[in-house]
Amino acid sequence: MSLFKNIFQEADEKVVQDISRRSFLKHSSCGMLGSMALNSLMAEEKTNNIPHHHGTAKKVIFLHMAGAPSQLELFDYKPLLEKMDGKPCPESYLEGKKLAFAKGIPDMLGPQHKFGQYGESGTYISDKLPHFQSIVDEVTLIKSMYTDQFNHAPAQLLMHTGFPRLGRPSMGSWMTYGLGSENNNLPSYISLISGGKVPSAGKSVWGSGFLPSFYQGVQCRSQGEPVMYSANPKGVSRDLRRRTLDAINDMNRIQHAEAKDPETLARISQYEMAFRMQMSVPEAMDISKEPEYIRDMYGAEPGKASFANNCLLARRLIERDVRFVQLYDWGWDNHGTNPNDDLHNQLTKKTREVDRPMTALIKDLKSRGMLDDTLVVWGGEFGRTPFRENRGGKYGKYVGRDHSPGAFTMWMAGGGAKKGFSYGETDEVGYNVAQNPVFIHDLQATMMHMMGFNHEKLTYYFQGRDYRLTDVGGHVKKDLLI
Amino acid sequence: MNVYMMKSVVVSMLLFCLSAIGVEKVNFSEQIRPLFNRNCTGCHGGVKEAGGLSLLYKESAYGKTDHGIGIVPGKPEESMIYKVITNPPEVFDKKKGKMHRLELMPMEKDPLTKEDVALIKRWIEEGAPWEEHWAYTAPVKQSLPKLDTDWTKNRIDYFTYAKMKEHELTPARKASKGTLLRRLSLDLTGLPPTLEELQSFVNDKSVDAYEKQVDRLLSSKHYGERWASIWLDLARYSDTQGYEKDGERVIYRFRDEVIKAFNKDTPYDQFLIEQLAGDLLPKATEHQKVLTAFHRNTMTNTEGGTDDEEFRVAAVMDRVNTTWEVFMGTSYGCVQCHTHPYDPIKHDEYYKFMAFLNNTADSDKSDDAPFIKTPDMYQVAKMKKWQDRQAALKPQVEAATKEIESQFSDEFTKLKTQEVKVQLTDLKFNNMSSNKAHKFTQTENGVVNVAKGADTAIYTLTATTDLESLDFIELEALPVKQFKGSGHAGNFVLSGLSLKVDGKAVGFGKSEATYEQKGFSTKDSLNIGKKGRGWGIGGGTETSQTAWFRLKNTVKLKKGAVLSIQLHFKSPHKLHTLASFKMKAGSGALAESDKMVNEFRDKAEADISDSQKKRLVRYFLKKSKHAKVYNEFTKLSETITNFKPATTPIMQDLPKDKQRVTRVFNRGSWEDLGEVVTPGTPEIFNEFKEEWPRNRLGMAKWMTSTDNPLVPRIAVNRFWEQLFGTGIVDTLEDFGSQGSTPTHPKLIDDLAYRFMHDHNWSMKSLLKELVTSATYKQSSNVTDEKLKKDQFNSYLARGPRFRLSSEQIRDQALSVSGILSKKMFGPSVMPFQPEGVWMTVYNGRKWTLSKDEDKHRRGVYTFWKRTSPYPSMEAFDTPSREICKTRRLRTNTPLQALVTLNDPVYMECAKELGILIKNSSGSMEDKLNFAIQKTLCRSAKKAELLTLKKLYDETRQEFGKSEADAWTLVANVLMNLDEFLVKK
Repeated sequence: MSLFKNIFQEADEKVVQDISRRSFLKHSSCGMLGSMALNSLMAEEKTNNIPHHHGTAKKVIFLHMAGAPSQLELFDYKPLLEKMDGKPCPESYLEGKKLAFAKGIPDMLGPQHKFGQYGESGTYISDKLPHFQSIVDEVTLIKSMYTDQFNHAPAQLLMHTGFPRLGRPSMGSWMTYGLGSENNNLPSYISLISGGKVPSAGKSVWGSGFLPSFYQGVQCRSQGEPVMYSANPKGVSRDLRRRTLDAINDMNRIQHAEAKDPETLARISQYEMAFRMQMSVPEAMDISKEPEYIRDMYGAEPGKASFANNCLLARRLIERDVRFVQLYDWGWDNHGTNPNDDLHNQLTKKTREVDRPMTALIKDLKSRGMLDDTLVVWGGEFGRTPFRENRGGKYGKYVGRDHSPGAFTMWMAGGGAKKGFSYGETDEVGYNVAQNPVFIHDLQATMMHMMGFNHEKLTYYFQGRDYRLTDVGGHVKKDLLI
Repeated sequence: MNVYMMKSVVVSMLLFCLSAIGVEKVNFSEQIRPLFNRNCTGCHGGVKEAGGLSLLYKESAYGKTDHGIGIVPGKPEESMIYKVITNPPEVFDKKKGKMHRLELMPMEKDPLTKEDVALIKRWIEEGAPWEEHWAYTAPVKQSLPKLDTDWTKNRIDYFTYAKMKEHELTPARKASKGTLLRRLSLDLTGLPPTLEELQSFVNDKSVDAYEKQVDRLLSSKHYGERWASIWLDLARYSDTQGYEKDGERVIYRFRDEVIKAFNKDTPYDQFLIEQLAGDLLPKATEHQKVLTAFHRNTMTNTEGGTDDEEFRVAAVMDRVNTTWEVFMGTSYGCVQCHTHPYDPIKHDEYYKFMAFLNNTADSDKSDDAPFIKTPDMYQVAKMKKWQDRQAALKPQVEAATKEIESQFSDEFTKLKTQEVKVQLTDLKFNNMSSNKAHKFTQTENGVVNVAKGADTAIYTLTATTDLESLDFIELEALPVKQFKGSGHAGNFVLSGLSLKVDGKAVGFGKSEATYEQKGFSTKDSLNIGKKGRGWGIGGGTETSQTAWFRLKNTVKLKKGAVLSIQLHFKSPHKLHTLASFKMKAGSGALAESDKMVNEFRDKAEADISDSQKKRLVRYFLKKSKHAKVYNEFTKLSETITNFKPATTPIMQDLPKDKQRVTRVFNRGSWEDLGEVVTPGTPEIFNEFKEEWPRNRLGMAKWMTSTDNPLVPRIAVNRFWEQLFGTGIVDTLEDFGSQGSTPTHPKLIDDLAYRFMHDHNWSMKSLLKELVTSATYKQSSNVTDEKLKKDQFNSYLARGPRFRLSSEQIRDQALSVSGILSKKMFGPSVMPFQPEGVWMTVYNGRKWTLSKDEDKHRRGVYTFWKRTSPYPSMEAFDTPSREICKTRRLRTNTPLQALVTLNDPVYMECAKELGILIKNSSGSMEDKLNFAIQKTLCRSAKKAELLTLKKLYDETRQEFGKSEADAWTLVANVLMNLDEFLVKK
């Protein structure tokens, strides 16, 4: 009996792979070609080399600091800005600039936290990131990131979907669409959030846009059920659920024998996958299974919705061959209107929340030999101004900076990124990029390249044309790669 | 992806077949244009015209290029396009100043196959006849193919049968009655048939039994709900505004009016006009105006620092793109930045069309203005109930008032002698000062007079009191007889009130007054930070007015306690300070009677003003035997005055003198403006007639003109897709040359033509034709052989079988378990959703489980939040509705399994269905049969009975569950069957 079942299960899995593939082929094109054209297409695809080349990274962990952390307090040390502190912002900086809240001519604001040089590379890092200081020789800092969006939602969309408005697939969807899954028990694209709020742009930042919803990120929650509706109803044990699934499958097979619709077999497979996920997701999401010293290293506490927990979860998921893990952490929008959004209280609180776990993540991945093929990327959606925000033309009690698309810092580690390396420069006050600019699409193109894609060739036909993650731009920045 | 490869496979197959036949003339649209589009238009099209050649426009293709004439009809050897694909000539390169040989075309691509080259040659030899794209000329009625069969039921079947024959397929047998009625009910009303409906159909042996069912379902009120569900995706309907804040938007009346429009079978052309330009129709009705909210479903950005104009423009562009995609199946968005790469629509034509939609008054305002206030049917009913009751009470109240008025003197005397339960002392101030130049005096009886001062002030007043405890402060503002010279306005704004008892601040709780000017309540006086707001008496300054401020808690007083009071007067208006007043300190509960007695004890009847008298009469009424009637009446009046009807954002044109000028946006950027354009439609389509106004109404008339080639085709294709699973053109969103070619070109044209001329745009009439065809009525069971020949059922040699929509899945589960609410219309509802789904950055709105039957309403009424859609419906592919989506994908994922297995909503359904099964009569087998009939509309198979019985027994015996639990699980199984989740 059990042997029989296994054969069935395997057959079903094959079907589901074909079906999901088929369903997007069908929808992306004429859909009336019959199996002959489909087969030739699939044969075609093999020779068409997806991935397009050998990638250095197989998996991605993307750490998004929603709200936009200040580059000027954390990574981009500007001694001149220190000297200009309190002086009115030279008008040449303000010409033609769009600002969200600042009014008139604001005063320049020196770095609010101290910097020091660390590692063999002698990289400047803020004293707010004491743990991170110890791994600067593992990472590449990109100081010359810039964007063309200055509001959170559009900027986050651009960062995650390559387009500032809704409707496009997110990075993780593109990558799972291109590479498929390596794990039959878990979704291949998972998002985790902390900080108490969803990203400004909503779930579209892990949405599949016009790609089949099969490719959208599955949000796993660290409080409540990890995946919605994954817990069996009260009184239904796993054994009993198994029996009901057996009944469902048996009935579905009877139906299939009569109606012969291949979708029925696909449904059997999906129900089996759901059943496995009911086990594997809570198992993967259960950090109490980790030894105490590991949890301590991250600062993780079971049962909390924290960035630390999510970093540890990211490692657990990557370990289980999840392709793309995306973390969102809210609370970095340091305007300085109150103690919960300023550069002293709030930024200190946020750096304390992320410094230790993000460092632990890199160290942990490295010690397990997983950093080589896992790309970790960290950053916000834009930067912050070198002058102090004066909302409504006035300074309040708290210190903050306004949104600034002109320049910001991101970092990446592993997956083929250079180690102990700094790329790009900003002007003397960190307002605009001065050297080696990296636009959002360039970053995306580079990440795609590391994953083995030519970003111009991973496309999807929709509404009359081929779409891609990098829209109509993007250059691979080979300088960032080993 | 590999779409191109795929297309090339088809086209070469197609070409191979045709050349094998070799008799018919080359067809430009079917054979040549696809070939051009695949190989040439990338460089010789709308975006690029390399070598001076575009193969999109006839004039360019037949005209001079940089190196000779593109196409010379009849003469392939003289045609440049033929030369470059066979034997490229040497030409003179002006830049280099020398001859060079042109490259073989297509450049950097695989060369054309021999067959392709031969085809182009033959086409040129045959005179190179040019045809516009099939979908760009008006559809005509087709002649029926001659067939040798009695299978056909109506015109549709002639076309489908001919196609089947062409592909060596034969129709499937007719589906069983049960299957057919389930299919029909789900298609027309979105709900499965009840057992009774099923029974009556099965028992009806008349020839028109099926047609009777069609008519019954088409006239069901649930028909509108089903088709509105589909329409809402196109209208991108949502109960929120979108973008970051995604605040609530009251626009549910649009959904309700769409349901009504479907139910009353508004002809499609009228339906289109009303949604795009209903406000511009002569004597526009409320229904027509509300329908214009179709285009007010665009997103509104209320985030701080956003440029309203940028997002207004984004909304207008969305309207342009949606109008084209929904009604005309054209991806017009491409033309925003440049001339369409594949279809003959020019860059400036985008902006000409945008000019129709660029003159409405809305401008990304956070309140979504302009809107109309129109109560929904529940509000209307409620209001009517209130008003009826009010009218019924009115004579009684009037009689009672007269009675009291006649006894006024007696009542007044009685009042004055009434004992007061509170202790009240006048405050005699020993210190009175102002931060401005005011001078204070206090009379014997406690009246404080304030001489001339400034526009704003803070009065600080100190007094001692012998009261033992303190509960409230009374402030009586006295009228200023001649305020003009007094240095005070007649009115004031008490923007703040604070109290210290022996130096310690004391907080206030509730407050009230004899009169409060609208918007100037005593409540705001307690919020000192709120400038310019607080107690004011504008409209009531002719008599004295009194306010009472109660302390949060009773304060025990020491003997001779010092009360220090501050009165703030901060108002943007001049001299709004208090000129003459009296203050008292009180202890004890302050009842209304106390206040009245205090106020009037020292007054003579003759000194009472009219308004005071009215107030007294009201008070006496409340104390009289008529109190019950009177209180009900006043409460009703308040409710009626405070009632807020639904406000629906609508389209409304700017006045003539404020109309916007529309310009071309260079490369699609709203900040890079080009030439001015006036409203107009693309040249390639039907003419814009003189008699039509150049506004939205004219635009809608152009669209619904019977020579518009796209509108009727797109419409019939959509209905077809809903019933058959795939459109005749499967790219519902793109009928251009990059869209799919129709599987049944003649059928779609015949249907489109007759939709206008035979059905007179009636959607119900069209649907009736579709569902009464033999094609529709086929069984969906398939054989391996048929599956191999036609995997996707493109040629319709079997009935449709595909997964139900998210709404249908929900409604069906609620329906078979007997808990579906049939309530229609009204504000969107919030059925159960797991905790923590809604986490919004700024907005405080919470998901609150709806009460009673509202938990079990149809899916179409579910509150829709764009950034966080209702999760179980999202799992089944309902789009987020940020932008219009013309086609829902039908995925099959494990997350869907988790919804129908575990979502408490579906478990509740399973439990309820379990109870129905348990309570059904007969043996175990009878019960199971009942369950299968109820869910699947057919009788059970032996093997199925065994499976379900086994589960039931195991649950009872092995797992020790109750009978009810076991039936719940059986129901849970049935509601998760593939057969239950699909329409078949």
